[in-house]
Amino acid sequence: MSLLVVEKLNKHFGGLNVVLNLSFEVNDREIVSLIGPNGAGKTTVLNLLTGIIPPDSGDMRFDGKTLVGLDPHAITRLGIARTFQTLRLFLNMSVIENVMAAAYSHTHAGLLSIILRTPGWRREEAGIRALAEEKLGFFGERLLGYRFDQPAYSLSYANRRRLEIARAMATDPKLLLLDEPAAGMNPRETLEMTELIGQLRDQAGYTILFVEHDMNVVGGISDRVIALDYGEKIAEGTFEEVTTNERVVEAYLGRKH
Amino acid sequence: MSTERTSELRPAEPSHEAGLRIGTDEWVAQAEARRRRRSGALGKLADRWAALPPIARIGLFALLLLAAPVVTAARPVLDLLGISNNGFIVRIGATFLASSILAVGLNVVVGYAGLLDLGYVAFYGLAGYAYAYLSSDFINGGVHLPSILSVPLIIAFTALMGWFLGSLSIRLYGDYLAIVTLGFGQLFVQLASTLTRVKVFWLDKTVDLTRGPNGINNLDNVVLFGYSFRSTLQYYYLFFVMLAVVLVVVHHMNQSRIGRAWRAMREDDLAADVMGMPTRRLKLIAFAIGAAIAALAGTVLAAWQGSVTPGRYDLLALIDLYAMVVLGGIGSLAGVVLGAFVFTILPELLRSVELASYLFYLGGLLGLIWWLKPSRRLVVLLAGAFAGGLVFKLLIHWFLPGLDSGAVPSGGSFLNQAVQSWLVIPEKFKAVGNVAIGAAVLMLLVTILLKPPLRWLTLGLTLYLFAFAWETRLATEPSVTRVLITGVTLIVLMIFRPEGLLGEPRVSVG
Repeated sequence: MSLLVVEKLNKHFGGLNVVLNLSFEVNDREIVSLIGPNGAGKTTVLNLLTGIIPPDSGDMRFDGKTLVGLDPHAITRLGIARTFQTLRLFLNMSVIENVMAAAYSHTHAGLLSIILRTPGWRREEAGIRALAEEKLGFFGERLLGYRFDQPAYSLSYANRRRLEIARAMATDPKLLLLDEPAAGMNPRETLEMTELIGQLRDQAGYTILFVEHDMNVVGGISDRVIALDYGEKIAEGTFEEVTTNERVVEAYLGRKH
Repeated sequence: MSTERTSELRPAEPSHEAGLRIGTDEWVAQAEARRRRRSGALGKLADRWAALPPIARIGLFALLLLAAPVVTAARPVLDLLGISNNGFIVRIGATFLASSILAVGLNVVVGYAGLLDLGYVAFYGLAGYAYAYLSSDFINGGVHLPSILSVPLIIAFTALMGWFLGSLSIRLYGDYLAIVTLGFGQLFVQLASTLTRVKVFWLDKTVDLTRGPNGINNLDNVVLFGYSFRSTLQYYYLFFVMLAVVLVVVHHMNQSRIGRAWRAMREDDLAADVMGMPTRRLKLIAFAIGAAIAALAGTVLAAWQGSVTPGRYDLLALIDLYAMVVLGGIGSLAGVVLGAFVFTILPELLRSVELASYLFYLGGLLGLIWWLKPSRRLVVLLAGAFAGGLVFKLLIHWFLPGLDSGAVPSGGSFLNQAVQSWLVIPEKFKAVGNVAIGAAVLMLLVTILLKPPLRWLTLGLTLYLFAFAWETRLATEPSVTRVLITGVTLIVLMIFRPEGLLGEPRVSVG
C-alpha cells in the first residue's frame, strides 16, 4: 500500500518549470530510485517533499496526511528523513552529538526536567545515547568507539556520508530520502553503499527513495526506477525497462540527428 | 626542565600506550593527546591540572572567589598589595560577578543559539527600570513590592519581552538580525532618556515616565526572607550565589536536547530544521532565556547601585559584554566567566600603581614563558638580562657617575623600588622615559624580526627598556596606562587566539 503519494506536483522558478505535473507513488518497504540528467529537478522534488520549498500546485501525501504547507521539522515528525547531496553535517559537533541532536523530534524533556535533571530526563538521555550508538553501529566499526567524540569535520568523506545517513535514521523515520548517497565514492565504497541501502530496508525496515547518477547503485538495488527530464516524468518501471527506454537514453546521451 | 626532544627515526614498533600499534586508526586519533602532553616541571603541573575532574577545578575557583573578600582584608595581604583597605577590591569583585551573569546570558543567545542579538542590553535595562518602578517612590507616592515578588515577576516579564522581540525578528539571519536588534537596543535607551513628558489624553496632563537622563534614584535594597542586602560585601556574595545558580542551569540546558538543538541550529539552521528540530521555537526560547538571565542580573544590579540611568544601558555597555563573551570564547561557559574577569578586573586593578606594576611584570614573565617555554634558555636569558643591567649600572657609576641620580619616579611597592634600584635613572627621567617607550617597542620589533643568537641580545635590551619605560613613565599615570594596557592585551589575545581564551577553533567548511 502507498506510503507516499505525489499527485500532479508543480514548481516553477520564474519562467522555468522545474517540476511539471509530477505524479508517482512509493509503497511501503519499497526501494525506489529517481534518476535523470543534472537539472532534471530530482533534488527539487526532495526539497518539495521535505518542506524546504513550497509547491505551486499539486499534492503530496504521506501516510494519508498532506505535506503541503508543513514546516520541515513537522514533516520529519511525520516520519520522513533525508540526507543532502552536498552533505550538511553539524561539522563542529562530535559524531555522536550529530546523531543525538536528530533525536529531538521524538523526545519530550521539558525545560524544567532539563534544569532539575529529573530521573525521567536521565532515562531519556540514556535512551537517546543508546539510540545514537545503535544507529552508528549500523555501519560496522567505522563510526564506533573513540570516533564518537571526534568532531564531525575530522571524518573522511565516505564516513561523513555514512554519518549523515545515521543522523537521518535517528529521527525515527518510516521513509528515507537519500540524495546521491554514492556521490564521490570509489567502486568498492559504491558497492558497500548499494548493499547498505538494501540492509536499510531489509534489516531496519525503512522505505527508501533515493536520487542517484551511478547506475551500478540504481540497478543493484532498486525495486523500481523513475526517470525525470526537465521536470517531467519520462519513464517508470524496472531498471531494465527504464534504461532501455528511448526517451531516457535520449535525455542522457542526446539524439542521433 | 628541558623540552628539547631529540627526534630519532626508529622503525615502527608496538607503542606501549594502551597496547596500540603505531599507525592504526586509534593510535592516530590519540596523536593529538600525545603531542599535548608537556614535559618539565611546569608541564607536569599543567598535566596534573588538566587531569583534575572539572568539578574539582570549579570547586577551586569557587573557593578562591568565596575567600577573596576575607583574604584581601587581612593585614599582610593589604600591605603586600600596598593598599589601605579592600573595599575597592570587593566592589570590582561584585562588578565582575554581576557582569559574568550578564555575559552568560548573552552567551546563551549568541554562543549557543548563534543569534547575533545586539539589543541584549535593552533587556538588562528594562529589568532595571521595572525594578525602579516597583521598588521606589517613583510611582504615585511609592510602590515597594517586596523583592521576593518583584524579581521573579520582572524576570518573567522580561522573558516575555525577549520572546516578543525574537518573534519580530524571527525571519532574519545574521547581519539583518543584528541591525534590527541593535535598533531595539538603541530605542530603549532613547525612550528611557526622553519619555519625560508623555501626554495622557484622558487625564489631560503630562507624565514623566523615566526621569530622563538623570534616571530614578533611591531604589530599595533586595530583601530576601527578612535579610536586607545593604553593603557591597553582601551583594558580592549574593551575586556569587546567583552566578553559581545560573551557571548550573545553563550548563544543564547545554547538555540536553535543547543544547544540542541550539548548537545544531548554529551550525546549519536548515539542516537542523530538516532533522526535526523546530528552529523557530528554539530561537525564541534562546531569546527568552537570555533575557531572563539579563533580568535577574539587572534587577539586583539596580538594587545594588541604588539607581537606574539610561546611560548605563547604552552601546558601550553592550560592547563591553560582547568583548567579554568574544574574548573568553563564544560558547564556552568557563571562557565567558574568564572573559568577564579579564575585562572587568584588569582595567580596575590597573588603576593602582602597585597592582599595575605587579600585573605588568607578571604579564611580561608569562609572555616570556609562553614564548620560550620553561627552559634553560629562559633562565639564562633572564639571568643574563639581570646581570647585564647590573654591569651597565656599574659602568655608568665608573664613567658617568652623575647620570644615575637615584631619583625615585613612582612610590609603588617594594617591587617597583627593587626594579628602580636595578635601573639607571637619570635626573630628567620623564623625558628619557618618553623616548624609552618608543625605543622599547622598536627593540621588540627588532627582536621578533631577528634570528637567534642575535635575538637574545636584543631581547635582553628590550626587557631593560620596557622596565625603564614602565618605572619612569607608564606606572606614574595609571589612568592612561590602564586603558593602554587593557587595549593592547585584548588585541594581542585576539591575534593569537581568535577563538577566545577558552573557545574551540571552529571549522566552517572542513
